[in-house]
Amino acid sequence: MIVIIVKSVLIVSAGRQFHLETEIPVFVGTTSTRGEWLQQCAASFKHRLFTPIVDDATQELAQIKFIHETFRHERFLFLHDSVEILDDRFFELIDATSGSVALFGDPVPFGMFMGVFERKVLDSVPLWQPASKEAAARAELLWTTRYARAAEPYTILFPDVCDRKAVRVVERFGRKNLVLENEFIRKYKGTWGMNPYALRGR
Amino acid sequence: MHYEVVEPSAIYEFVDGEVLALNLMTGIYIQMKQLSAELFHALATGTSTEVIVSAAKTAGYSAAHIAEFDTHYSNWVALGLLRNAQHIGRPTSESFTLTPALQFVEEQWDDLSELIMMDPVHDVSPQGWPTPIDE
Repeated sequence: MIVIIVKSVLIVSAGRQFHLETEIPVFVGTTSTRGEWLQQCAASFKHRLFTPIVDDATQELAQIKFIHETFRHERFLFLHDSVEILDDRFFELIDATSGSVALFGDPVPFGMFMGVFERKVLDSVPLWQPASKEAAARAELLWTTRYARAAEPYTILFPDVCDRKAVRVVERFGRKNLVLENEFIRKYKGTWGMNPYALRGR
Repeated sequence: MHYEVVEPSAIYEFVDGEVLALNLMTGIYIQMKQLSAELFHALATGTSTEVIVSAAKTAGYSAAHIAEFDTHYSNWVALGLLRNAQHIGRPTSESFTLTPALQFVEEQWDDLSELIMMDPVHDVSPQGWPTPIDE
């Protein structure tokens, strides 16, 4: 696993003080072949630093595991490179939260693995590296539910942002994406319908 | 006797000595630790009940404790997680050992059932997933 700081992020953040004591550290999961996605994501971060977590072999849960074990932050925000921040007040919302925060509740709380994770909760739940896309889909139900149980009470920040409310599909960087969004954040989802109903094969 | 996971309607992971299992048809979520987790994982990976009993005796479990195993197997079948094996799995049983002095530790929840069982295509309201059609 390699951690890099993308040059463009440093440029857009140049001259700005990083308030570690009040700002929740932000990590963005990506791979070495998703430079366009990361550039797009980085460009949407107007005034906030983030650390890309680059790993080609593993899935989101493994990246969360790596962040937890490497940085040992009390709390951190984990995002995908397929998001864009549409309004900087998003970070004000995040920084004002306490405890664990699921960005979305789709298909279950902490679905898509995006949110604010707490060290004390991560210390109390099993963390593993899904070996395949299918295993990652299982983990999206099994691990997120386990985490939510251990994190109670937690917040679902945007419960209204979900697959069924998406109104458009766009072509972006060589794939079709379902667009989930509100005024604060946009998520380009390359795989959708990967909900419990689809997973159980009906 | 051999059991197997009821795929694809049941999913589970065994990690750090803990089993996390979910029946996607009922939405019942089960978390197991200690003896529950070891037995479930053993059955799910093809270890026969006879080999488990033998390993339990070797590990020092009492006859009364071993007699409880079947009750838990039946419960996992009733929950839709396991079924009698239709195909005997790989022979992992020869090397199976059981950690001594473990207890059954198992919790289950069904408060996600409504969400898990909802068909997102047909049962979802115009407000979208996960709002049911009748809300």
